[in-house]
Amino acid sequence: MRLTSLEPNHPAYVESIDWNAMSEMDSRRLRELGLHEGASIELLHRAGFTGRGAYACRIGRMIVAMRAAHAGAISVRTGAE
Amino acid sequence: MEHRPMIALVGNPNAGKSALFNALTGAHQKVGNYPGVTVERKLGRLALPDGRAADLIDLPGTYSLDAKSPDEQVTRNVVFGHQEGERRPDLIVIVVDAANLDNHLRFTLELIALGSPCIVALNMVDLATRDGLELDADQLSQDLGAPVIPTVAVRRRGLDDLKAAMVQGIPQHAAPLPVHSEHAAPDADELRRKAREIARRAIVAETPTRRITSQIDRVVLNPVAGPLILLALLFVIFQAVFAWSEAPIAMIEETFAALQTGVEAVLPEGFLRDLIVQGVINGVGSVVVFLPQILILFFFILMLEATGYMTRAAFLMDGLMARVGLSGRAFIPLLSSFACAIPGIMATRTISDPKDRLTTILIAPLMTCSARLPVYTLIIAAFIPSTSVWGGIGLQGLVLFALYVAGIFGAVVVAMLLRIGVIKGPGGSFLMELPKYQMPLLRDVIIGLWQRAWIFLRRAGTIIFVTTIILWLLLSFPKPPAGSDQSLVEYSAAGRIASVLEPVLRPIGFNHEIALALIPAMAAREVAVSALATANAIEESEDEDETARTLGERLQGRWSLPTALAFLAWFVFAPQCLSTIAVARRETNGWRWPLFMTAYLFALAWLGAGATYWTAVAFGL
Repeated sequence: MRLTSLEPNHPAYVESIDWNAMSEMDSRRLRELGLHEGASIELLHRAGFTGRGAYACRIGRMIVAMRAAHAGAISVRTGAE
Repeated sequence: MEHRPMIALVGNPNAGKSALFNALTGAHQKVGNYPGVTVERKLGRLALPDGRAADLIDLPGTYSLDAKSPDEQVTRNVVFGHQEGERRPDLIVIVVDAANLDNHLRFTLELIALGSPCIVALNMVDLATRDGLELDADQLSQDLGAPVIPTVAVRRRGLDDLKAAMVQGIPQHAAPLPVHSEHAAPDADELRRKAREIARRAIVAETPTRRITSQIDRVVLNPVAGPLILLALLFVIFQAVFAWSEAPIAMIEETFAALQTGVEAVLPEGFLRDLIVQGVINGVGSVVVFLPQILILFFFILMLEATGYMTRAAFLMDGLMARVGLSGRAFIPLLSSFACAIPGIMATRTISDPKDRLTTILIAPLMTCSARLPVYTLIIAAFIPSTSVWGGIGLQGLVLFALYVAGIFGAVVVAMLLRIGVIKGPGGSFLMELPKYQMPLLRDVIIGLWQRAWIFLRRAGTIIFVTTIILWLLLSFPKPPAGSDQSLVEYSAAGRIASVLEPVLRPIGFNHEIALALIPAMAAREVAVSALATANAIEESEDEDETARTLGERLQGRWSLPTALAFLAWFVFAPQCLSTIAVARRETNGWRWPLFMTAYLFALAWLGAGATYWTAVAFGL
């Protein structure tokens, strides 16, 4: 399941990340923001009246804002690690 | 001379590094720029418990030593001792967020691997406790192989321990050179794995508490309430910028008026007195008058940043900004530009994508800065009747609001055109940490305000000081021969330049005196008002409002309504003050983009003023 289809406030785990879907700079920044396979992740908010804005998600203990393009590159799995 | 130890604060963004720097150095700090790059250099003096003084440098917050952005390059160069004009630090203090260990330890490990003397400040331990985290600093110290000192910078806790550790940590002899070069950096994935493992061992207990941050976010980031709260906040900020500044502005005006009277009383009539009174005091005073508004705006911006709300505002705005090819991060610089484009353009440094950043710089001058206000106020008061429309909305206020909206609308259109034209290419991304909410510390806000005020006053004392003198000279010389029927201003160099410009400005309804006023407005927009006053040969009265009123009445008789409206439209877009152009040059490292910016803004101003004039004339106004 993509992070974009995850129910908000339902903790999950990062299963895989399509690093090729983003620039090298962005993939490095996301790694620095704590994104890695197996990290705990949770969708918290979506910005905008129309619900088409950026996503805010918890990665580990950090809250990270990203656009749909990046959130869509993250595959998640609910349940135990 | 005794060698003063050099200590560098290094750490991830949002580790509380600046708060620690402020707590350690207090007001003893100097803010400048590294030569050739637009990275802020913050240096402070610190008294060590053994009686020595040390230099403390606050390096830009970065996630790693990979030299991708200018900030990271400076941090990297300083750590390696390659930074021009900077000594290699004797000791590195690595600041980590206690609640975010696994992420921050990766950079810590990278720094420790360099082999330079390091100590770790385990900062914001109070917030970690609030989050239900219990940490074992000794275990962490053992695993890292470096001293670990728990601190709470904003509450000044742990500072004595940290200073004691600094005394211990500063080597007796010159620190050994870092062992790694850029080619032999340790593998990033390996470091990440190791960081997570060390973090896991350091965490004694972890209770998943419902954090304050997520409770606030639930309201503030709510799709409906969030934007409304942001709008309300912006409304309060703009109200405050105008309402709170009235009294201090009046005080500054009185001070400068008293200064003029004082100089007039002391100096004999003549060139020097005119230069000082009409040129220097009048010119610099007309700019310093904006200090209260700029400080009020910055007070709010610093508060919003310190609490952690600013990143939420960027998050909420990203969707909207993305539509015109910008990132949510551009929101903060553009907001600052309502006070003045200079700090706004400087604030674009936080935008990592070069195209996003350039677009933001190029449209920042379209946000209505406070220097345009005196011009708007003068013309609106003179030409727009003080009546109400649509059941009680003041027409004058409405016109002022429309001018602000015109600027924003112009910025949106220009940004879109830039992104499909000269700054083509895929839009940047938006990746941002939303830090935990924190109570801002008054001391940090005051230090920040003081630094902004100083930068602004220094500008008033240098660039504006010089340009007003040049302007005054151009307006005063050469003097017309006795018996000439030409006025002093028209005969002067500035008057002749205005005559050259006039044919270009005539089609859009501008007359000779407007052409004349537009020249000095390049120095600072608000100078247009005093230039009009001089050109109208009105005796300066002591009260500036009085001058504005009489000037307004004079203009009513001399300008048609279409001309006045065209003049307002012109100021929505141009002219750019020289300081804005200079800052754009510095931030874009060259003349290409500032020249482009100036050219497109003048073109827009001409078209905007022309369209306004032609339409108004067509409607028989």
